[in-house]
Amino acid sequence: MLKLTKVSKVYEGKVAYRALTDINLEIEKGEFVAIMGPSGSGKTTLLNIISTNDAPTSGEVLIDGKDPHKLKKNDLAKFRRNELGFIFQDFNLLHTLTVEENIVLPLTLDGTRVREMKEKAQKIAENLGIASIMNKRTYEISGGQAQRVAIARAMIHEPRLLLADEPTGNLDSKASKDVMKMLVSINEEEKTSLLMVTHDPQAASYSDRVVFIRDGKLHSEIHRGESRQAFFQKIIDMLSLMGGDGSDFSSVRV
Amino acid sequence: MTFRQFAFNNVLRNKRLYMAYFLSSLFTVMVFFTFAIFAFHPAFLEGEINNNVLLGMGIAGGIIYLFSFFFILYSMSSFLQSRKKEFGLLMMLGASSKQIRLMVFLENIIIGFFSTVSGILAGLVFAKAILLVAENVLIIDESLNFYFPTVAIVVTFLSFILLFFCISIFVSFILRTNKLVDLIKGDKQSKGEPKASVLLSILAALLLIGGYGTALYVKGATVVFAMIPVIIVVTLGTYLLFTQLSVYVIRLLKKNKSVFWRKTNMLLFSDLSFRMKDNARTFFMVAIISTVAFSAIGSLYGFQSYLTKEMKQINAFTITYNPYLKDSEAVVQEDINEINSILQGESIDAKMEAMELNYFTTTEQSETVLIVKASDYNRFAALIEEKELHPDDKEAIIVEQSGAIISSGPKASEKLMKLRIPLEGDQEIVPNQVVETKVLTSMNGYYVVNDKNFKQLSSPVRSDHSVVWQAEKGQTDQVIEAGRKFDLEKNLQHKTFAIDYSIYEINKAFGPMLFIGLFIGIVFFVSAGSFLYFRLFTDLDEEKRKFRSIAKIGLTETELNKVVNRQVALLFFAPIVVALIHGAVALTALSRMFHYNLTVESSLVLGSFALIQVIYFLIVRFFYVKQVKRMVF
Repeated sequence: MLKLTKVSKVYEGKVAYRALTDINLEIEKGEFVAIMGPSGSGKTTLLNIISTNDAPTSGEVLIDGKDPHKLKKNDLAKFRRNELGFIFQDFNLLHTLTVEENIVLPLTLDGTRVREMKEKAQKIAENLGIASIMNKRTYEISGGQAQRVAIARAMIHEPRLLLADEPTGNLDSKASKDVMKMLVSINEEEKTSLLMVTHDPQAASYSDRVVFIRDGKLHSEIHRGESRQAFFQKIIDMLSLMGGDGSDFSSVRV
Repeated sequence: MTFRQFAFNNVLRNKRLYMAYFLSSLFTVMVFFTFAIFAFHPAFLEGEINNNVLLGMGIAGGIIYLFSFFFILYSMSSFLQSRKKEFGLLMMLGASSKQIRLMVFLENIIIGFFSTVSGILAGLVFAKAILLVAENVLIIDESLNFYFPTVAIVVTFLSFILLFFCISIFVSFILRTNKLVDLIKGDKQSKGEPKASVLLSILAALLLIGGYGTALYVKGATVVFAMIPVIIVVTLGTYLLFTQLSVYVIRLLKKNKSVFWRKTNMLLFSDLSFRMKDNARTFFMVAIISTVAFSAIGSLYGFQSYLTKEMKQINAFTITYNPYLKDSEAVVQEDINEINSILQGESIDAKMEAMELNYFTTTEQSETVLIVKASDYNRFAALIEEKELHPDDKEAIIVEQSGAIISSGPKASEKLMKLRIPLEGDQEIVPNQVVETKVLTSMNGYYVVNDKNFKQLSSPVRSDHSVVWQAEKGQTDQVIEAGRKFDLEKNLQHKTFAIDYSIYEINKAFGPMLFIGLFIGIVFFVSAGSFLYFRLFTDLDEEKRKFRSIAKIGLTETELNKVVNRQVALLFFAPIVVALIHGAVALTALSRMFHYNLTVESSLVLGSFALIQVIYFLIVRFFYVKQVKRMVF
């Protein structure tokens, strides 16, 4: 599904800074992968490269065998709109639009028929439990609801790959749990591949596999076994191993 | 860091943020200063320019000053609006509202001082240009040389330091420090769409239709009486049009999902309705200001062309001589000789024709009418190559009153048509046709009869002379000179009329008015443009953020272009189109008042404004799109 081979990123400047070094990563269809690492380890850079917001200095990114970085600007925008779904830490909803309008925005830009949009929005809203707030404005809803709206927006065009950047970063633990359960069920039911960058070991424990990176290099990875609780413990242990004790990691990304 | 240092550095280190406000202040100062350079020119103070013009310039200066005040106040408040979040942050850190007011006050004083100084400097650069333009438009005998405008500098500096001081106090006073949470959320919260009621929307349409209808319906002198009510009704209608009708229309569009949910429409309309309250106010202001500018310039230009053209219409001949009734034949002959010698002195080639104007009684007895012999008429007509008239036996051709005379009631020809002219031996002449001609115009119209009939008329009640000269083409300057000489001769002064000289005199008297009108009109128009510019750039950051988040989901460059393009176009053309329609209606009403066709003049004025607006739009769009794109892609 997603295949990264020897991806490197160097930020040019007075002092060149190497953010990523030879990253090899493969994600199967329907797999849920979390990326973790300390601040400044290159997690976000990696996600930006996969999400085509940023181009790698060297190496190759293949999504379904195609390299999106070779597309032209306008085609790239369409590719992003049709093949990828995004969930952001700060939700990135447009406050001039209502909840429903925010959800259908990707389809609207694509010129889908109104009836189809309405049906899809309704269905997805019911699944995510936000059907009752469809006509509200974005500043009238809570953070957890806003993130669910963002998930609905990311899912409405049935993308092949869902990219989440700290989806629980702005949420309390209850809302985080709800959002993560939702992502898991989407992953299981729709067979959508999911890639998530997070600081939160709790959130990471919902994934199938956690990849740790440190100083721009792959450090290690652990797979989930039978129990989520044991997986969570393994993640905490790994984090402690990587950089002192587990409590070093705040839930707010710098 | 003391508080004063903080306020000072806040301005100096944030140049980009303060630039727009600074530039618009600078522009205002510059406009006022250029006007002052012109108004305080030594040529006016020493020269023989009349008091009315000086008064006019004083009033114009006052208008510009007053307008500057409101313009700067508006710029200031829209600038403060965009900084709500900053104030919120300061207050969260413990700044008291008194301190914030003090900061705004200090900032204003700093910006005010620098913009006044640089406005004056920029004005100096343009000083020569404005004087050159003035010299050409004005037709004055003195030339307007460049001079060092000490008086203008002092006046401008003091006026604007005072103005900024007043505004600073004013603004820091009204700067309402609302709840902290509102300030911090500031930009996220919509001010809400203004409430659109169906009733008021209909009222808006009715008011506009009513106002337009009245303006287009009334004719002649009634236009003056209808003017004030129509202006009030249309202004009110315009306000409701933008605050109610447009909101209503956008709501309808938003409800219609197949339109609203179609591609980029959603982004466009949601944004429009989100900002409708601010937009409506800006639109209204821009529409009204532009209307004032269009109408002022249009009517001044139209009025001038009316005066000169109409003068040419009535006075087809280069020089006309009409003696007083009491003048004897000898006096008339002496005058004619004098005119001829002046013409010779200026070496003007001119043909002369003379005729006797005879007034007769008609069947009605009450009034006397002018009856002209066909052969006399044709001699005059030949001079200016007009068509000759050959009335049949016992028939008279009526020459219509000249169109320049403003009168209500029936036309002169209608009255003349009913009359009969008695001939010797109980016969009558019956008028049978009406013509309009430039040959010998008269207030009340007159008859042309053939020579045979003319002899059969009873003896005239009174008779008059009319002598005309038609100069060869291309001698305008000499004729103006001759006209000046006629004007100096006591005995010719009011009897002789040289058209070219009169037009020259009109232009000379009209020049300052036209210039001032043009100046104020352009100031209004340019500031209307600045309002739009402000509206656009106040929300720029917000727009950038919005487009960046959409671009993350996937927005092509073409789509972005489309949305931004339409948004800017709507902002720029919605109020201007309204203003153009208002202006067109106003000028049509004006032309009805004078019974004079102003189509060419109005379309010239309105067309050039529309063109300027298009160019302005293209420039602003270019920079705006560039700004947004740099942030997004």
